[in-house]
Amino acid sequence: MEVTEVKREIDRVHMSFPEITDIYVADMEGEQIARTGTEELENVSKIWSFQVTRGGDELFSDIYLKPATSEPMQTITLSVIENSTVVGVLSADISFKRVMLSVMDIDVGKNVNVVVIASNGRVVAHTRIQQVPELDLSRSPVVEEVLAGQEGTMKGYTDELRRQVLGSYMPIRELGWGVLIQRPLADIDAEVGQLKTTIILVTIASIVLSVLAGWLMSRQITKPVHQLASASERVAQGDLSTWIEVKSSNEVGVLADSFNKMIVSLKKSRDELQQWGEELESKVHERTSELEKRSQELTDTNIRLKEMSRHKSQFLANMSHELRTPLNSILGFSEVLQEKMFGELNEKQEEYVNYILESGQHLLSLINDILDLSKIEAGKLEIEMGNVRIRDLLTNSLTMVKEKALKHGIEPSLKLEDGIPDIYADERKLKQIVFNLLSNAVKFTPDGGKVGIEAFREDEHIRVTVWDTGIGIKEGDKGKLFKEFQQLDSGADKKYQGTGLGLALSKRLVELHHGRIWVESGAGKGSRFSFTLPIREEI
Amino acid sequence: MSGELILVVEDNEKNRVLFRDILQARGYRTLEVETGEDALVLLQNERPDLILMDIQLPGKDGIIITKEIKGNVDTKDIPVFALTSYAMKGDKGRMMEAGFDSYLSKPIKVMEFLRTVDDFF
Repeated sequence: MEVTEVKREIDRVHMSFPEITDIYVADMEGEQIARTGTEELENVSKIWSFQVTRGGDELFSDIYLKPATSEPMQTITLSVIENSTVVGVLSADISFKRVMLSVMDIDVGKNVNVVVIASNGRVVAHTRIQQVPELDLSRSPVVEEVLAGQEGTMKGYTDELRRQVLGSYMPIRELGWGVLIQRPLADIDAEVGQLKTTIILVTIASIVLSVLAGWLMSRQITKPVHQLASASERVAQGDLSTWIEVKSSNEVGVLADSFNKMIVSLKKSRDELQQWGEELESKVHERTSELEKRSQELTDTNIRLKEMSRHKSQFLANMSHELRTPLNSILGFSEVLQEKMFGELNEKQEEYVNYILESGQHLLSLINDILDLSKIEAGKLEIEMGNVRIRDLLTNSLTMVKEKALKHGIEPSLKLEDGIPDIYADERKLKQIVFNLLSNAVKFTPDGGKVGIEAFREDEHIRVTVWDTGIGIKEGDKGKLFKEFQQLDSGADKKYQGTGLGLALSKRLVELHHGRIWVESGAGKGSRFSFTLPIREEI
Repeated sequence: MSGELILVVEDNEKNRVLFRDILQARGYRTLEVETGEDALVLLQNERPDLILMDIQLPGKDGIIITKEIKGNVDTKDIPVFALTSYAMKGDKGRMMEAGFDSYLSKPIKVMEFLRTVDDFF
């Protein structure tokens, strides 16, 4: 009779609140005396939660997955106390399926996922995965962070969908849970504006989730609390005599107490949840404004950088003009002297004038290189494509360095494949590349050495190689070779000074033609610089 | 080289001297002014056979001055060569419109420069 009463109450709570899937009451031996539905009564004496609670503790289990339905579950187990003595155990299973389903409904945008993680690293809810069982993320670095109570952002880790993502995370400290919002890096890299969208999106998602989660959690727990409360009240008030009467029947007589006990502890949970909800909300606000500030900062920086880049281009253009004006005088007057337009020079004067002219020309080529590089960087270098006769181009380039080479006893050679085709390229730029490689070859080859140029067809490309028997390049230096202002250390011998720009420029120019440039060399073994260009490709 | 008169518009003093001396050594007569505005004033009384016009000038630049020269019936037939250093963005288009008869880039190569001028006459 008394047991039937308990059974009825349990069933009523169960029917009204689907979140509570199972309730049982057991005696001190672990024998269930009442249980929801038509489940058979069992002995729970071997179950850990029973053993703990039997000692007088209350127990909120970790979130676990119900094997049959894969729902995230939590079991609340309480001891039933009479006159300060534990006389039995009451246990209720609560399902978080609703949390899971609600999270799956959140629209956070394509590719973005929201993950709710329980304290043991198990996934409670996931926007993109319905079957969360077995999804144990406890080893993920971001999950470790959030479960340790940290909040923040982590970039560039692999998420459970094997994507490289940016993740924002926030702990739900009172539950020991965490929330993650993850977005693939590939989607983010595009633009700063895009990033701002992401930030706002993530923030909105956090708010939605926190409110929703808070609401769901409190609803799931407080409603049964009230239900149980009223049940116990009714039992206590309406049928008090019955209860007193059956007080000697130990299992049932103390049920009201245990209900009360449960009410107290559930109320505590509810309060904590409410507090957590408020705290979380203010944290979200704080975070939103912080993120907005950061996003504004990024926008500002971006504007500033663009302006700086514009100033730089303008500065380079101005500087180039300013430098050419005196150079016109330097080069012009020294040429006038060299040409002896106004009379003879003595030997020394002639030698010096030649030096002035050479240095002036060197300076001019530096200015041109800097300007070209800055134009390429700004995407402003115009290339004028046309038919280029490789044979003519290479012969001309060789002629340009021949005089200087012969002066150093270097005999330049040219080797061309028969019938090498014309290519579609910018002739002036191509000449710049070849001339640059050739003058380097001559410059870095000791007197009496050899330099040469070769060209072959390789499928749809032609390959041009400029080789020399010069000082060569150390293996470790090859990487630096094609970078701006990265002149190699040629030791104490300052004889081999270059501009540090020529190869960087050549590389950029080859790449503008969709080609490739590289070097084969070893210290003291000479160098072979090669580049390929597509024979015919509209750029 | 029969003593044609060449007007040099160039604001840099040394470069003015350079153009003057090499042209005179070649047998040309020269006039030199520092600004475009001075050139316009001078053109009211003088009729040079060729004008060498620097582009970056104080006041109105060489492009504007050339437009004015080419827009005036009295002076429109005088050939004008542009002396350009690095062209600023947008200058190229403006220069095409201005009506220059040829372009010479600075820094000049003296002998090439003189050959170009010779070939013109």
